Amino acid sequence: MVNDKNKLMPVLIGIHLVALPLYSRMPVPVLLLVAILTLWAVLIISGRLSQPKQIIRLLLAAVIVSLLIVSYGSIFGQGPGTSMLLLLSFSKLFEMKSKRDAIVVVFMGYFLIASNFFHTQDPWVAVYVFAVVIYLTSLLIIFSDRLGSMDFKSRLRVSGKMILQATPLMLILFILFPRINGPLWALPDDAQAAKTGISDEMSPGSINRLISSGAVAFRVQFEAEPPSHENLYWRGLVLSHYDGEKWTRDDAPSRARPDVVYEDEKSDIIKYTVTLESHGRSWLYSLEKMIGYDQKYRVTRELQLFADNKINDVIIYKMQSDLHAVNHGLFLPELRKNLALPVNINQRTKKLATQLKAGGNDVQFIDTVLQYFRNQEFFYTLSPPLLGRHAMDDFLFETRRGFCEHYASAFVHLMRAGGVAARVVVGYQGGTINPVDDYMIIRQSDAHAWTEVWLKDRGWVRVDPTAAVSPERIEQGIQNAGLELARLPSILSSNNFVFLKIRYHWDSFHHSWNQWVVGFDEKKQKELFSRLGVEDINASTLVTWLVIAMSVCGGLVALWVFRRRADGPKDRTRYYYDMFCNKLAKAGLGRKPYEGSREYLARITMLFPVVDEKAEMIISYYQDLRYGDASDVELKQKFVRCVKQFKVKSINKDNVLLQR
Amino acid sequence: MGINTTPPATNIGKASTLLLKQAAESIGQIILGKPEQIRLALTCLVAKGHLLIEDMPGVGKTTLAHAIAQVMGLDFQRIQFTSDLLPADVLGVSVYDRDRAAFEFHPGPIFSNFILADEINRATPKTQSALLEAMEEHQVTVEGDTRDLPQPFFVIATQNPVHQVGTYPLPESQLDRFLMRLHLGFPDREAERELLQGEDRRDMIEHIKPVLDSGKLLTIQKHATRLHVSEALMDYIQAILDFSRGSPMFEFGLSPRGGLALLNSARALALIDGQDYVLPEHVKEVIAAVVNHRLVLTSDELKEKNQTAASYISESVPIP
Repeated sequence: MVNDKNKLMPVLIGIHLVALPLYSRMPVPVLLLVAILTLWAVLIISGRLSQPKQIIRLLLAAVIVSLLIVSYGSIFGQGPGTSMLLLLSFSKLFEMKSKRDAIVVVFMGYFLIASNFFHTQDPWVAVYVFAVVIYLTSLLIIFSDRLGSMDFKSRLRVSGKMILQATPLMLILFILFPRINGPLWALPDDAQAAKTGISDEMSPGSINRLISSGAVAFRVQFEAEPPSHENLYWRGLVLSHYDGEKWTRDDAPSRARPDVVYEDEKSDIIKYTVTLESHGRSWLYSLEKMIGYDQKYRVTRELQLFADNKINDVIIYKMQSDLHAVNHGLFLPELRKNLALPVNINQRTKKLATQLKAGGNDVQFIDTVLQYFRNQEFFYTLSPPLLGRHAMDDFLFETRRGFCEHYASAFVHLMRAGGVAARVVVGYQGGTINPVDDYMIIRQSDAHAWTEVWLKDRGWVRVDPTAAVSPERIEQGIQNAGLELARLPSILSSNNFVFLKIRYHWDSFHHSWNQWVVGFDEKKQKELFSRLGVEDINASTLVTWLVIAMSVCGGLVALWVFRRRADGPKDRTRYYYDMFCNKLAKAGLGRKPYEGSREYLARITMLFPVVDEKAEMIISYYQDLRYGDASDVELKQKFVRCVKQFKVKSINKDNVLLQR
Repeated sequence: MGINTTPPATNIGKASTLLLKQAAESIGQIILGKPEQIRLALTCLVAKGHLLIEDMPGVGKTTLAHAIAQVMGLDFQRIQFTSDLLPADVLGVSVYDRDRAAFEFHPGPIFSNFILADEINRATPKTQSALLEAMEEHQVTVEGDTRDLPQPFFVIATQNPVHQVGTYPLPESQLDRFLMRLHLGFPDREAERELLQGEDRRDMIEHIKPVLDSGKLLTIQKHATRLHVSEALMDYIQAILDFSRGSPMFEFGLSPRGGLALLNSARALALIDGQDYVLPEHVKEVIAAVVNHRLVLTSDELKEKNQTAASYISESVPIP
């Protein structure tokens, strides 16, 4: 009975639906095995092959495990874990002995579908997961529908209804379940595959690569007016070490405290809330010179903000920044670090620096270098030529075409060669306001690299050499910097008003989704309850409320169910008989109140020869159930099902006439 | 089937239905064009009730009674009621036997299974009530001795609706003793032609073979009382009773005996139909025969609408 292809095919499809979003992250050998197992399962289900013997199943398990070890290097971790569950679910189809086996596969599907949230918590994924859960539930209906009388559509309808009925419980759990500060369980390190975003090293092309991505890096809600575009420098990381090829971090020891002198005047403080998309790294982004930040994050001497763990979920944090604060964080080892350059390469650049410095002070030197960029024929472009071993020399004297990372690294190099401490900062610059909800969207395409220069009395001062080459980039954003439009994401390059409007609305929804669903943490929970007038909510009160709410919800459902039961089997019969009569009444053949079922049938037969066979069956069941002493449960089910499926489609009058 | 095993109830039901069907067919050969009346008459018999046929002379009342008696294999007595008929003529009389020096009871015609009481309204009320009491009690008390009537016991009384001088039409209160009242009516054109062309009906009756005997009929009657009646059907019957009692159309409404009559007739009809349980349709089919002679209309309103008490009730009481 279980090995019915009408039942197992949908299960096979179900596993594929569950795993569909996961496939893009699976290595090719695993995908190949998935394809082979699918084909094999189809052959078995369609009866062309018999179920494999136990020894073959054992071999298959061994193949799966070794394939995973070869592909992933381990069977532990999120990637190999989900792959293993998926492959084993497929292989479970090869040993279907009882209904239970099939149900186990479906339950596995419920578990696996949740793993989609490891990668993204987009609303789309939630919708997809919801749809697949409805499908999976309909599979369970197949296995409990002993009479096999429901078709695909009615099964989906029933399971949809069930999921909908479960929604209140889901919401109660979502709102009231105590949130634990920090991740509930630690995900293995590989939980996050490489993600788009700024990395902790910069080489020519590393920022450039991000420009074509329209993906949102983070969204910012300002409490007051946002600062002007040229001040929107979202600091991510400070890169101090240059090895001639790439810039990497060389942070001060974590004990070193930042040394920032803030203004006394507090009027210029910018308050804002950042909703950061998961980027798989531990640093956070903020405007320059943060003052207020959540104590659970860590600030380094370079004024970088770090979380304890990699950011694998959307996180929301409140920040305050003071654009005019002075960052004095420099002491001797740092000075040395920020002057260091690789030896023996880029000699021409070093010579140029000495020329440009030519006895002037540091401020004059900076101006001269920026003038140099401005006056010589430098181009700001998304497709710079490749650079050789002496990258800085090649760039400054040969190609002169580069993107922000080229200018930033060349500038820092010149500064250091001229004896001025300097470092590269990577992050984002700019952002667009979503007019729908009035928050700022910062996309990957806003990625940027700039520099900070140490001046004795002014501390670390931001200098953006890109601004010398392409001031439009800094003042108006990447889309107006005269770059190759084809390489920019369509959201930036498009002029289609409707398209933009839709995108903004969608983004606004996405933002709310992040705020209230994905980012619904302990703080949000407290916020929600304090809005409702309940202060000082703690885990134990939440649990009490949770229990009460669940009991009330469950009690209501129980009451409803018991009341339906208490109506007794006869009235249930009657209820469905009325349903049957109502269906006919819609076709213009209602039962008269004093009309017995047999008389009614006679009338139906006369008018609707098309449906009379089914009507006859229903009425004979009804008579047996209501007037006979049959209390057969199966008969009752048959009756109910028949009535539910009974349809009087538009009565074709010609047809009626023909049939007479 | 072993001697000691009683056949399962459903088998009795099936056999009964088959026999009754045969009986109805046999009677139908004699009484042409009246299948509903035959069906109802058999229902009445199976329900252990008595039947009143009210109609014009010459429409076949006696023939019907005869045919039923013949098919049922019951011993048949006909009592012609006249104005000078005395109760003793019906019930029997004790005569002094000089040889044995004792009174000896000579049973009257009522001591038989099947009685045709012809033109019952011509007898005096005294004689009528003697018959009616015997019908009701299934026993006769003559000069202090109570004597049981044979089983089964079935009376078909006929009454001439034309009010002639010297007739005593049964009062409504007495009509209640009859389970059903039927009208035969004229045969339709086709049936009449066949009747005219065919041989004498009385002769034909002699030739039909009995389908049942008194033993089998008793079994059938017993089985009919065991037929399943659901709560839903009880509700319907009670709704009818309540309605008849509450309606301004009727003087008194149906008596509890009327309700029982309705239930028993419906049961018997369900058995004839071969059904294991009673449907509201069975009630509706017998309601005219069972109810119309029990209810007294308060006005002519129904008559003007060409309705009877029964049709009014069955079209007013919703089936619960």
